[in-house]
Amino acid sequence: MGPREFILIGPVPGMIVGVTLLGAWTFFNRGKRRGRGPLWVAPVVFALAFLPAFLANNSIARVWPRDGSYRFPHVALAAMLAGLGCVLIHKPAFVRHVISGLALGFCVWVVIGSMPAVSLARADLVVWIVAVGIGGSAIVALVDWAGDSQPAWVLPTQLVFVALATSLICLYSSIAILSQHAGGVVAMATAAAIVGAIHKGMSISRGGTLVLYTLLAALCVGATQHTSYPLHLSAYVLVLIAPLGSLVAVIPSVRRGQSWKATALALAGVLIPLIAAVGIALLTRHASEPYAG
Amino acid sequence: MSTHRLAIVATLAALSLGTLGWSVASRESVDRPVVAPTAASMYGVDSVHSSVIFKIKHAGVTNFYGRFDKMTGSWTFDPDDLSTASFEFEIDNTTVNTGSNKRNDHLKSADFFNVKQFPTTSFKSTKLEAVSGSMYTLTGELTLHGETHTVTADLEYLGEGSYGGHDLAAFEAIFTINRRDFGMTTYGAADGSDTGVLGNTVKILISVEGPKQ
Repeated sequence: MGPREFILIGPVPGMIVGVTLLGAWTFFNRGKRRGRGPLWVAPVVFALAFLPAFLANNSIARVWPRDGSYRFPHVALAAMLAGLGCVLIHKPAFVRHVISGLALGFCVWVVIGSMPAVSLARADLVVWIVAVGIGGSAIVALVDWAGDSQPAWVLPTQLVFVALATSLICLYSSIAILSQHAGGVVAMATAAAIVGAIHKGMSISRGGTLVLYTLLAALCVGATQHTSYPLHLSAYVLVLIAPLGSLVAVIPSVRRGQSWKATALALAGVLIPLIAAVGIALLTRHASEPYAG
Repeated sequence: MSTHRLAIVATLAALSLGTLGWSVASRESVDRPVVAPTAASMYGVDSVHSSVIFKIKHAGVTNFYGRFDKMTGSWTFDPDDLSTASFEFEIDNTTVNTGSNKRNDHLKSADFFNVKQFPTTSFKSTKLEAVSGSMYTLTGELTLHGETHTVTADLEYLGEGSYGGHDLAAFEAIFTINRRDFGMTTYGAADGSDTGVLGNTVKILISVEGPKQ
């Protein structure tokens, strides 16, 4: 990776997210502070800031590329629209679950929907779409709920961990480009965590978490199919369910205890399954890792 | 001269001229090749004695070469009737070979050929035109990385021969593509030039030995 690619994958998405979120929440805190704040900013800025990371080693050569592994701008756009829907539609609550579930399932189809003709049973595609759609929607809702009980920087930090693990999973699946895309998510989530540390009331819940989780889920699912050397399935699944570890923080006995302990447990709850996932990935990876160029 | 003698001389003269004429005709048939109108011959592809080689820029400077080890297909060629010419080939993308297993595996991944989604590259000709001598221009549809585009190759017909008791014919074709046209943009310069980590221009040489079917 050259300096240009590094800047586009790391500093550029990070700066876009950091400056935008900081500006939006500073403006909100200086005003009358009605409602929960500008939650709509996070899904928009996450989706847009992901594009430089995608463009670092790609270009938008096709409106609808035949190769599903080139469709991550489409994933970002769909996730952004769903994220905005989740922010703007308050009631009934199940509509948000339907929107996020449809978005997650759609994004899985976007990435691997072209595989059944050659290397994926159509029934398996349906299983992936339904599992990630329903499961992912529930995970996003639960993680948002747990995140609301923690300092603002905790949820983005948990997603930094998940994105780092996703990057390694993609790398061990011999797809360097997807690994770099996950690097862009690392940068964005890190910037959000920094803003969360500055602005206590900041939140990426609802739409923001959905966009980041959808990108990571699409990367993991893509890595299972667009590789000749898939890892053990449990490695991918562990990464996708790892955010549920944050629920440790809402266990009544933990919640009643000291807040720093709840935060530490919430971080550890996410980290432990991720470490297990990366361990499995290391053990089951193909001997050859991507050879850059 | 009596009528009898005249008949003998005439007969000798006729025989002499006839012999001369036959002799010249025989010599001409040796000197001048006879292009007999033959029906178009169909050939297969001997994968072991055929080559698919590609050239691409690395780091904007180096010419790097790789190959594919397996190609199948068939072709029909009649120099007297190019309208019957037909060339169809399929390259097994999983056999990409660059002399480094690590790099081969990377080339098979979604970063490049994505062999899981696109296991083969195929070519189907649409037109063959004579240029001069044994040189031709071959036009056809190349399907690579799931995208189909028209390509034009310089084809040299190398002639016929035999090997192991079987008749065969051979040709060599060279053409150039821009991999961006086929949606394969990873690690290429966004402006379409060859200045990126890897070039966008790829030159492909196909040399085919075809056993007669």
